Amino acid sequence: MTLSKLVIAGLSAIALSCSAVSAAPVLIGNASLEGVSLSDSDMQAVLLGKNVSLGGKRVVIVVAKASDGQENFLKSKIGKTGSQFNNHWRKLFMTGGGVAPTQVGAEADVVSKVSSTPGAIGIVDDSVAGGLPVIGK
Amino acid sequence: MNITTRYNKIGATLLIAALASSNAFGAGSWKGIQFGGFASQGYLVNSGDNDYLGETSEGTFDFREYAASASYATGEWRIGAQVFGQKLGVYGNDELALDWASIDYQPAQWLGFRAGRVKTPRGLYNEALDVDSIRPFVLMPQSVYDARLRDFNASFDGVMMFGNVAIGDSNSFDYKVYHGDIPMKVESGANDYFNQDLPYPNTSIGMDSATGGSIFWNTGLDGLRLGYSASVFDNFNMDREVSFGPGFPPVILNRGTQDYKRQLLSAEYSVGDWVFAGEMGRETALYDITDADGNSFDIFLDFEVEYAYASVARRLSEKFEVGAYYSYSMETQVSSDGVTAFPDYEQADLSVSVRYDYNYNLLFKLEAHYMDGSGKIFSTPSYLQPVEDRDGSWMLFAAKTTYTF
Repeated sequence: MTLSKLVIAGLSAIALSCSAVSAAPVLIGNASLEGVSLSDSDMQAVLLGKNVSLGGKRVVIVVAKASDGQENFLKSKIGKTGSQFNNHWRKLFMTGGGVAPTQVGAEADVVSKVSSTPGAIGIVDDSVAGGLPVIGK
Repeated sequence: MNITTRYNKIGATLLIAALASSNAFGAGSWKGIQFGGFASQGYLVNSGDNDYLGETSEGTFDFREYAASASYATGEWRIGAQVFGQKLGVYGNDELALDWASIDYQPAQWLGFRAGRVKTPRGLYNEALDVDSIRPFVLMPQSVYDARLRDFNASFDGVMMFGNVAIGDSNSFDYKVYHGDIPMKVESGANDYFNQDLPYPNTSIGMDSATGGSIFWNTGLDGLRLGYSASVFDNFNMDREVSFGPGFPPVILNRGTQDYKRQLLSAEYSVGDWVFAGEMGRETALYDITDADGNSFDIFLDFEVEYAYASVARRLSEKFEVGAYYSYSMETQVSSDGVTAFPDYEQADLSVSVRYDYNYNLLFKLEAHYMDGSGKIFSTPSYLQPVEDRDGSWMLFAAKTTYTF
């Protein structure tokens, strides 16, 4: 392998690595939540339904039916798998403790729903967040 | 239109609405109103002649539950309701009833108010006893969560204050404090539970008020929470029709206590695909026997029940989950007259369960119990099962399927 090929391969690896870093799941919010910034404990409270308002708006949690990024985010931020998260909300919803998250198909649908719903939040890869505010990461 | 018919129509409407559109959270929606519910059918059979949760010595399909709920939230407000029906042996009778119907106002994370018919906070799982889809067990540990006392334990009519108080970055407390009333019926498992000591039927049962709450510490160790629950039933009492023999007209005596107290310590640790839980508690009451005019016979009954369980559950895969628990209870009652003797009621229950999720909505469960003791068998005036006639060592098998929508 020539030196130039080694350099190109190295640069490609760095680029891919940078891309992987930037492809981190984040918590986005509707434009009405511009300026809101949540700590880990704030995110936990919101995602578990303990805090139902943000920026004066009722929180509407939007989740994708299946998303690796969302799964990883839930595990790292609230310590629950997707299945445990669903069970938590099933329990709340069926016992009069809260209104369940809105489920959509994929991350693009999360962005679309969050974009059109005041107070909505959702977990997506930051590369697809568009212009929506990132309120937690 | 009577109330039952009205509830039936409400339930059917909610059911249709929920089936029309649903998502994985068990919640469909229409114009911002979320709908959901579940329906389950089970089978119970045990070895020997004990009849435990119905006619289980012969095997029974009288073991089912179903519910439909609706909720709507806007701003700091939420309103919702659920209708529920069940058949568990002679209890429930497939009649729909209002399980919970409440309105919330939550102006802050640390402060919220809920009023109406509200699920009773008690321990780790009391509020979600009916939600089969969140655990592998068919029967929750009966020492703490007796299925026959569901009506008594499920909800109260009154008000509750609740909230989550953050302490630093990684600790917080969930609290719930309530006051209200628990409506009780003579045709209920709770009435039978409190009508076992003497062969005279209760003609009424009730209390002036119920006050209690729970506090849970969400510790800095991810997945670990510790809690304490307590409640007091004020002026809890029951009237009994007592016969002193042929030729004597029956008289009404009252068995009542100023304070029926319950306490429960709880711990749950959820790590990865494992959930470990344990709870232990105690209930006490000092009953006074009075005549219809409230005159005391100066006979006091010192009642105490202690219970505990430890459980473990593990999600093996997307399709399978297993669980096991050991549950124990001991109930005693001592009369101050020094003459009347009541047996101790002791029972230990070792259980293993397996759950299969056909898909997100439909699940199947199988469970086996080895019972050591028979203290939780009911012996009531209408269905006597004296302690000396019971099997002391026996097996109980349970199967259940639940559809959640």
